[in-house]
Amino acid sequence: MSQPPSVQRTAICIDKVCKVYGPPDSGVVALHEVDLTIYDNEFFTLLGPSGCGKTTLLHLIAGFEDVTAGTIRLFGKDIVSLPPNKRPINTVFQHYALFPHMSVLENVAFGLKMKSVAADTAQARAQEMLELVQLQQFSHRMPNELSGGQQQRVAVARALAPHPKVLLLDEPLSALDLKLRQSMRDELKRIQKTTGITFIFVTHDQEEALTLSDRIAVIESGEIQQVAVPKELYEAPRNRFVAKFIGDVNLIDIEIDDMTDNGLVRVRTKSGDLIEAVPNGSGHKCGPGHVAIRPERLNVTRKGGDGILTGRVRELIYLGTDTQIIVETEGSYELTVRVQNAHQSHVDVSPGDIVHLRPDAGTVQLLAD
Amino acid sequence: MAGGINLQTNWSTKASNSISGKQFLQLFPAMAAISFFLIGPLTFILIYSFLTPGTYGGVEWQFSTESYLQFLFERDLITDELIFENAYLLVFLRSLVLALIATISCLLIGFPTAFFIATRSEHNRNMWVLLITVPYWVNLLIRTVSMLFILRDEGPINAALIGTGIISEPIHMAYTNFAIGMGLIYSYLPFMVLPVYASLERFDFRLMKAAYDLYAGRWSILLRVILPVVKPGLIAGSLLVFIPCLGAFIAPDILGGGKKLMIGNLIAMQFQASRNWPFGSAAAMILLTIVLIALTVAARQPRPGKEVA
Ligand SMILES: Nc1ncnc2c1ncn2[C@@H]1O[C@H](COP(=O)(O)OP(=O)(O)OP(=O)(O)O)[C@@H](O)[C@H]1O
Ligand SMILES: [Mg+2]
Repeated sequence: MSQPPSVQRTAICIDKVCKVYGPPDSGVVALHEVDLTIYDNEFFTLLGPSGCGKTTLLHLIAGFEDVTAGTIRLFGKDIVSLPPNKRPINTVFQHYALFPHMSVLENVAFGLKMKSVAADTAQARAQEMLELVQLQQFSHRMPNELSGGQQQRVAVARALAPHPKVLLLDEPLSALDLKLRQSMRDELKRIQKTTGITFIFVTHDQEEALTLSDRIAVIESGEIQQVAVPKELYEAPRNRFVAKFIGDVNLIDIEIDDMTDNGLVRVRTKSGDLIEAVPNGSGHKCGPGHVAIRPERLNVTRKGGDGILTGRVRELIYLGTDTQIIVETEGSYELTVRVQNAHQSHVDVSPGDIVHLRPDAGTVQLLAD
Repeated sequence: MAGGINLQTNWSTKASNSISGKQFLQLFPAMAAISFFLIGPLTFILIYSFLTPGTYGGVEWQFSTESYLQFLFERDLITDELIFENAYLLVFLRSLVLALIATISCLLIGFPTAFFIATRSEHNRNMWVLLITVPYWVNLLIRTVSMLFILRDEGPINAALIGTGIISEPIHMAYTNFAIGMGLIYSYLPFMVLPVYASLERFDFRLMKAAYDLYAGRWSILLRVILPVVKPGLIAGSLLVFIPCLGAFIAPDILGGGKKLMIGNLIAMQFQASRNWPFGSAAAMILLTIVLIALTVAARQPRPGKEVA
């Protein structure tokens, strides 16, 4: 779960890649100077809202689109000038794109056939891939005789059969219903572990990204916002976009006061409370800024004091396992607090009460913007 | 395993076996029209083909297989022996060959055209389809005659070739099998383009991307992905070109100068100048048989999955 060690081999190196659709000076800029390093055997996820450029980046790696500037290297070899059928990279498409006139087995064997693998070897390999996705008994069906989840697994088997060096998956689960999506998620993780192939997975679903990935790159408007392991992304978001995109968060306007001697930054909220925040490494000057605190990291206490936020309870929302407390502060910003209902004693507050909120140590994150 | 398929067939047999009274009423007008305009005349032709020709056209009600024999044999006037005669067979053969060549040429020209149209933007596609049908606003006879003007010795093609000094004598194109072929292709090309376009328009071009990603080159994508998927359109287009080409009579009449007969001309002649209605009817029945064979062959092509519906 920690940062991959530097001894790991680089599978894909994306170096200052730009993509402009249409004329270079007046077209749509889909990606601005993207730099990314993806390691071998890694389950890497591109996460971002619709239209941020995830598919574009995947298409550049697969070769369906040409880069406007920059280079892409696969295990050190520049591949930008190779067409898709010359890149040892396969894609699982969001819409499956199974060949409707071929049986499941023929679909899976297609890539091998195109690579001129001997027919019997191709058959055996295709069968092996169908076993990997647990569809061996469906090999003679036509794609339209399969359910959505089964089609998805055929698409995965088809893309894996030719032994690609990297597998690209463009929102492969988004067309499935929730139950199926969860089981396919486990399936994908298992397949990635078994085959050891580098997966580059695209999604706009943060939960999917957090549960599946070794590392995640958050993209917004064609720019990489942060690349980190899931835990770090959630607990130490770099900027407001990342903090808001992943999970629920309290974003608080603050003034940076000064550094403390234990490496933390002292910040002052609009209501005058002083708290300590973890700096994000990009150097801070005194002045306005933002901090992020996750709702479950705030604890309701009875007494105020240093390092504690104060406000009045506006609303209690019962969420089953949790209760959410909406607290209005004097600085006229709202804080959301989430307490587990198992800890009943903490929730005996009612609307109108003055409460004091103590953040867990080291969970207030100072943001870069 | 085949649960889905069984379900479908059960459903369709059920639907075709039990037509309710209401469904029958809905079908009645179409059935009546088909019986009246198709089955009626066909029955007449079938009966006529087994009768004896009347002296001044028409038929005499006397059973005879002479018309069918006449197709392959000539009766010696004195000994009444049957002598093999291939003149009519050659007419059928020419028709078959010309119709096949026209169909293949229409496939070769029509597929790229349809592909081009199907890959334009939605707005432009409609315009291109409209343009394809423009020649149809003009009568077939006039279009065929203009083809003759283009191909004849003094026509623009020869004039241009002589004018640029490539040839000194005009190439005789009018009144040849070549001219007939050109006429057929020109007349029936849209019947190929439109159904192929209809298939290609529904074709999921993302499949091309998937094939390209799986190491397929251009030709493999065309032969292994696009053509198999749009095959129903190719078959429909081929039938729509082949069948009318086989029975065509305006193109051979005008562009063949009446010397290169096709089945259509042969049949027309029997009902007009030669006044041999039974032989004309027999020729028509033979033509019909060929067409039915062609249709059966086409229908037996296995089609991928849902394309059947
Ligand atoms: N072929 C194209 N021509 C012009 N602009 C394009 C083209 N493809 C994508 N774009 C634009 O580039 C930007 C990024 O698109 P992209 O498809 O990469 O987004 P995405 O992150 O995959 O979104 P989604 O989650 O909706 O799939 C969008 O603004 C889109 O409108
Ligand atoms: Mg996309």
